Order: sequence, then C-alpha cells, then structure tokens
Amino acid sequence: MDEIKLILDSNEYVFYFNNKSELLKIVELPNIKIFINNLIVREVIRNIPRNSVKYFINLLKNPKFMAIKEKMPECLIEKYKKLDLKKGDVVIAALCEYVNVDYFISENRDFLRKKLKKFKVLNIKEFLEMVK
Amino acid sequence: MSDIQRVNITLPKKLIEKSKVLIEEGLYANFSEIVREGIKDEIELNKAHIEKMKILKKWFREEKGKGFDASKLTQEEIIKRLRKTRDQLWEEKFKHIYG
Repeated sequence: MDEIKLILDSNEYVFYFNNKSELLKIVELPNIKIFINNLIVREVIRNIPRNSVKYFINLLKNPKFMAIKEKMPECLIEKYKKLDLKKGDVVIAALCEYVNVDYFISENRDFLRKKLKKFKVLNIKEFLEMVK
Repeated sequence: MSDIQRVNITLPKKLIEKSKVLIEEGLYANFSEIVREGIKDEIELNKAHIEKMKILKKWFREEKGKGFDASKLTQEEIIKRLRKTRDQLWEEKFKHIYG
C-alpha cells in the first residue's frame, strides 16, 4: 500500500476520547502519516477532560504523527478565504494543501466537500471502508 | 570546562569489555568518547521525534488547565462546542497572523 497522508479534524480526537470514534484503527494502519498543527491540538486539549490530556500527548508520540509549526503561505490562506471558509477552517484547509494530504477526515465538514478539490474530505467510517 | 558535566553510568561488564577493544584498536581515544559518540548518534537518529516533542510540549504547556469534560454532550453538541473553540482560537492565536 502506498503511503497515505491525512489530517484528522479535532472532532475525531475529541470523539475518540469520548469512546465515539474508531480513530485508533486509522493510527494502526500501515504506511499512514497523520499531520497535526497548533490549532487542532489546542482545540482538542480544550475539549477533553484534563485527565485525558496525558493520553492525548502519548497518542501523538507515535511516529506516524507529524507536527507542523510553520506559518501557512499567504497564497493558500487567501485561496481558502476566497472560498468563503470560516475563520479557523481557512488555516486547516491551507495546512491540508501545504502538506499535500490525500484525505481530510472529519465528522462535520460536509460543506467542505464541495469546495475543496486538492484532497478528499471523508468521515472515519467512509475512510475505513475505503481502505478495507 | 564549565559546559561539561560528569555523570555516572551503569553498564553490563560485557559491553565494557567490548568497548575496551574499540579503544585498544585506536577507534576511540577513551571510554568517554565512545559514550559521547553513541549519544550523538542517537540524538541524530531521533532528531525529528525530539523536535516534534519540543513543539508539542510547548502547545500543551500553553493550554495547561483548559480541559473540558464533553462526555455528557451529544455529538452535535460537541461539534457545536468545537466550532466555538475554533472561533475563539482564531481570535486569540491566528487573527493577528492571517486575519
């Protein structure tokens, strides 16, 4: 299997810590690379119990997770602003294109599917079905 | 010499004996050099992981104490809350960069 690059939206991590997501099945896939950034990590920390935070950092220690700290190029930010994405979504969409992901995995981004052409937007169920 | 620190390490005898061969063969000047080179190699090998953990620890430190127990919320409520968090973070951390 070729390497798959993806970004998991913050809702996937939050659902995972509330036993409502199959996120681990994705992490366990071979040849997978998962990108995270400042925004996603902070959103998750602010929406999981304090005693889960240590488990979150332990999850991210897995070498399959890559932390991106670079500022996104202005041209990408402008591109997604023009597509009328909401504030923070612009940063996430720019990150997806910047690291050239194949998939953006989210449970709540139906509106993105129509607007984003550079990568596919799926929810976990759809993604796991596809790689099966 | 103030940037050098002495440390005591415990090693299996076999490893020490084998290290002595490396010194006798002239590959290393002394035992300290073998340890130094070994640690440098490990750091180089794990450079990406060390860098990642440095970044993550910074983000986690800055968000310390901001957790929230969402276990009693429905999926829709969690998504709504996350939307609010994303908007807040935009105002706090990103607006001045990308706004």
